Amino acid sequence: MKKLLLIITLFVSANSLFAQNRFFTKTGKITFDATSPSSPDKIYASNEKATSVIDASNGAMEFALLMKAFSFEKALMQEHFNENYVESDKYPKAVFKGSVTNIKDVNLQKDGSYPVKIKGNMTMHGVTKEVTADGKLVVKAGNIVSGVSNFSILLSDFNVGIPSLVKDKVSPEAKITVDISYDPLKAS
Amino acid sequence: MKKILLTTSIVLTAAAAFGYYLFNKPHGSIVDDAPVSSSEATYLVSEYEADENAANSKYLGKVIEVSGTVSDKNLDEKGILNLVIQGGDLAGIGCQFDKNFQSDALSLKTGDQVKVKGICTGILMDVVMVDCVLSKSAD
Repeated sequence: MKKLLLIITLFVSANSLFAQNRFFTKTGKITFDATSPSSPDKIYASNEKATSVIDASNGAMEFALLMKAFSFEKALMQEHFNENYVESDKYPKAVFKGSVTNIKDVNLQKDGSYPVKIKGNMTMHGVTKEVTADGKLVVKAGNIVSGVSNFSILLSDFNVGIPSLVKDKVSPEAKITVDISYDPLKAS
Repeated sequence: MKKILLTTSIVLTAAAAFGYYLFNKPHGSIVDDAPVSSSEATYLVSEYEADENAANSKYLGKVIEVSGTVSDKNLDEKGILNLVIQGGDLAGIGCQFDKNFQSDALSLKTGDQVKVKGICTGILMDVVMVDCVLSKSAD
């Protein structure tokens, strides 16, 4: 009987530990900037409805966003982005699946901001490509509370063509910023 | 001849001005747009869960109207209102409001009935709508 109780206690505590190892958001912020140095207009958009999950036990991490949820300052730019560049009717989502390769350096028992290396596959516009990025994870009171990262992608890697007419405005390289506040994922 | 030149230049100037206006037109509001569909949140979510591609071909990028119960509400760091309308067991409808038209929605509480109009952008964990406004017909 004692043994059974012990097993149950162990199981329950292990379960709750596991539950606290995963963190998620449905309102992550991801922006991109493809303004070329000679462009008078800022080619910039932000998306504040990205989802993300991170598992602190093994570093696995995922992001997903909807292309049509990118908001531009100018309506026409947004229309061109969706129709001519990323073809969001055909490819509505962008997804990243990968991991924090140095997750063992992130100590959940100690508050602080930890530099991390991220590596994985990003799928956008029907193309999957490996990307690597540097970032930071912030730990507070045993939880991962936020994460940030900046990296660049080549638009040509994802088959996004730039018409020669706007070559001086649209940079071939887009700067991506990721800014996430995480909540613990409650076991359901 | 002079007349033709004059007319042409006027037309060209007007066209250029119109083009410039279109180019700089700010990201607009959908407050006056008629929705292509109006449905219950539970129904919209079930459509998406049954066949995402079929649902996308009906709703993606279009202004739609959804009614249901508020299950979550928060303001992000930029002060933009986000509501979640209850859908199925897991997925709901995530509504990101248009900051210029959210004032009448700020007093909503969890459990309230709402009717929201917005642009459908697809489904992740929730069906996501952006540029949302409260529907005028909501009572």
